[in-house]
Amino acid sequence: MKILIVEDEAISAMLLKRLLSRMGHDPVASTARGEQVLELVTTYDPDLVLMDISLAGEMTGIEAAVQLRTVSAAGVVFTTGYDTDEIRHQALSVPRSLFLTKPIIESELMTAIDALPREPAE
Amino acid sequence: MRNRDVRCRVPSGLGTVLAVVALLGAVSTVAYGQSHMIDETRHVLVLHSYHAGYPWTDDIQRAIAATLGEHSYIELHVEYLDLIRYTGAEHRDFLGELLRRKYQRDDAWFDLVMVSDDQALDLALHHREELFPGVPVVFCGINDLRPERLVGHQPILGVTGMSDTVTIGETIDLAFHLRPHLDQIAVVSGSRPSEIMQYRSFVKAVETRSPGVTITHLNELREPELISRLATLGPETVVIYLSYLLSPTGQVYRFGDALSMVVANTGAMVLVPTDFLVRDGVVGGRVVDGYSQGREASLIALRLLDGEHPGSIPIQNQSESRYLFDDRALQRFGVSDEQLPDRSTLTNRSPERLIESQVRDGLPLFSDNDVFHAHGAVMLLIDLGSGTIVAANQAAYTYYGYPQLEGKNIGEINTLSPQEIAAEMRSAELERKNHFSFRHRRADGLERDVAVYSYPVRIQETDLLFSVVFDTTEQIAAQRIKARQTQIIFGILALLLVGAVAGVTLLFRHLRLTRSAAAALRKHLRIRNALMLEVQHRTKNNMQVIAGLISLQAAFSESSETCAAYGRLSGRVSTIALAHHRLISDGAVSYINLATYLHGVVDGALSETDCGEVRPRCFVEISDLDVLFDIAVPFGLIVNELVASGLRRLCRSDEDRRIRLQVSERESQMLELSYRDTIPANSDAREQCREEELGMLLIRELTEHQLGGSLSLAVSPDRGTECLVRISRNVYKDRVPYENSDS
Repeated sequence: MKILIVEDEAISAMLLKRLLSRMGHDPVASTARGEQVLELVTTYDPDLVLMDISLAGEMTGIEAAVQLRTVSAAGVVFTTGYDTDEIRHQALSVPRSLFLTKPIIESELMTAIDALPREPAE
Repeated sequence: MRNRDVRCRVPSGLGTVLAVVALLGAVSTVAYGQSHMIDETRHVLVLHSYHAGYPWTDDIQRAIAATLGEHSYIELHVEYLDLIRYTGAEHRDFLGELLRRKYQRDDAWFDLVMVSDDQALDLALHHREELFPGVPVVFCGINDLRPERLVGHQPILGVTGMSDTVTIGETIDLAFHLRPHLDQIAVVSGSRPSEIMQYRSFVKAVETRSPGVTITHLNELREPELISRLATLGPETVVIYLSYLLSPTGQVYRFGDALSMVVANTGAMVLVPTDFLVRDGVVGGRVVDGYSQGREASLIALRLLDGEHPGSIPIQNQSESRYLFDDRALQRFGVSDEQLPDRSTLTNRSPERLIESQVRDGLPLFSDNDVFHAHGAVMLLIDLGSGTIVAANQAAYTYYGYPQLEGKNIGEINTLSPQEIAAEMRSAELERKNHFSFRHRRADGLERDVAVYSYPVRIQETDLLFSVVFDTTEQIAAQRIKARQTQIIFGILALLLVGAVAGVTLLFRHLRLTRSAAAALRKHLRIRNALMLEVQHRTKNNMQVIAGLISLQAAFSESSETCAAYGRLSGRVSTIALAHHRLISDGAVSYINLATYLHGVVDGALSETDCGEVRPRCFVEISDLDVLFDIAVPFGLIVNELVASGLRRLCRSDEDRRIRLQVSERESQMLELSYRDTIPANSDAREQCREEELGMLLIRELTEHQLGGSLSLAVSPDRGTECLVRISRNVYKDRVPYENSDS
């Protein structure tokens, strides 16, 4: 599965890459800025986007996901250390999305990827 | 003639007899023969030439009302023509129109018409045929009774003269009595028709007397000339004032003003021929009076209404008159009592005379003198002009204690100044005010509060003030006390009110400050919470980053031993990071849920362990407990060391091995951790020792040194490892005095 990593902390992004690789997935690209998501999605056409909510730059992960939805039906797994009802509600309002709280545990990530609703058949 | 048609309402039998009498021809007798015994109202129209308030007219009306008014079958209709104040011919035309509109009816219904003075007589005769034809007219106060004036107006009769030749002549005679050295008689008269007629009477009377003194005619003069002429008159002159209500220029005067003007502008004695003019310094005269005129005319009217034929009643050409003098004016001109004619009446008597008549002559001032003297209330009769007490009752003597009250001036008793007393007496005289509050001085020197009720009374032709006095000292004192009490109560209420207002103001200020402080506190709290949350997040995130960094370092290590060491280090840091994460997730300050936390620790250990095909089986059973962060972290590190160690050994084993972890609360506040696995110890003791040396050391130090608990550890090469950790939950005290950061 092609996965785009959107994470502002480089170390966390590196760990996620290793984790995803170990899980057998293909982390095609990573970025710390929401503004680059659209371009990367267009370029790599990922099946999944692992999206941190707090990002570098002007956009939040939720805003980037909403923008993403205009060009892609890729699943989105939001990750954040700030787990509040409000953030969770905003994040899950994005279609085909799930929500994970940091620290990311391999088993939880695996379960989330498996549970993500499939892309509707065209 | 409605009245005459209905007068004969009598019982039927008697009515028949009367009808027969009428048919026998006694027509004229029947016409005037009905008496007041027949139950039928008689209507009498009274026309006064002047206005209500003019004493002459008022006296006539008073006499008519008193004489006719006592008969219930007589109803009076009174009109005041007001021809002194309204003198023009136009006004007389209006009056004629008024009488026509008011009284001209087909069923003429007046039984009698009464007129006072010449102008009303003229008007009545002028309209008689159209308004009340054939109705008898009775007059009074007529000066001009020439026979030709009455021709064609029968029946007409009455009493003549306001002041006729006879009374004016007697007044001229009187001047010689009062002024033995009389050298001049001046006559004052105005321009009204009746005044001109009076003046003619005077001229006639003087001619017949030939008194041998200078006669000065001050008739029909304009006011300035009259005043200047009056001023030249010497003390041996007598002024005979007839009337001056209208000047040649048309100026109309009120009778009192005109009289005062004459008296004030001459030093000569003034005599008058009419009773109501004896005032304001006029000495007196042989006077006619309106009341006598009205009474005589009313008696004639009664005779006519009783059915007497007019022909049997003569016109009275002689007016009833009397000698009337102002006592104080007599004193002013030095006239002694001996100079006065017999049967003279004194008016405006001096206080001395009033007192003397009581004391010397035993003549009481009151008709019912016993009531006055026997009454328990203090009563005084006071002379209006001087304030002299002229009579005091027994109660007054008892109250004031003076040996003699009559003759004493009220100013000696009343504590007000003479000017103030005079002003108050004037108010009482005019009846503007009748109730007074004074302080009266008694013979014993005490001053008492009194309430005085004063009314003007006329006694022995003299205007006096009748005062009833009540002592109100106690009442006033009580009122003062009550007022003081009320003042105190209101003062207290005012203070309470001010206090209440101040209290409420302070309360509102306090509430406002409290609200402001609370808002500031909430704001501060929000900032503090946000800051604390941020610190927690950064701590947790940084620890996670550190753990990830170590993990990466491990991944890049070439030595498997170094890699394992980094892995163990990463696990330990992650365990601490997870505790911080749970603290944030539970929204707590110092407590975290032990079950959630330790499950996370176990999951972390599992995720960090790569056992390849071997599937580790961990059975974890942890009670739902909230423990202090200070206990949770070392407890989590102990669990991490045990589970991670077990998993590492388990991964090296090819048999189906399992790990069992139980945490529960035993006894009171004692936490018990029970770890057991079935994994045999590493056969290479040296390696195991090196590998686990730090882990075991950590478990022991954390349990015994940090948590003050007990550790029981048994490692068996065959049966695996058993570890029992027991610690007290009270080993740490909560440093935060509440459990939840939201509280």
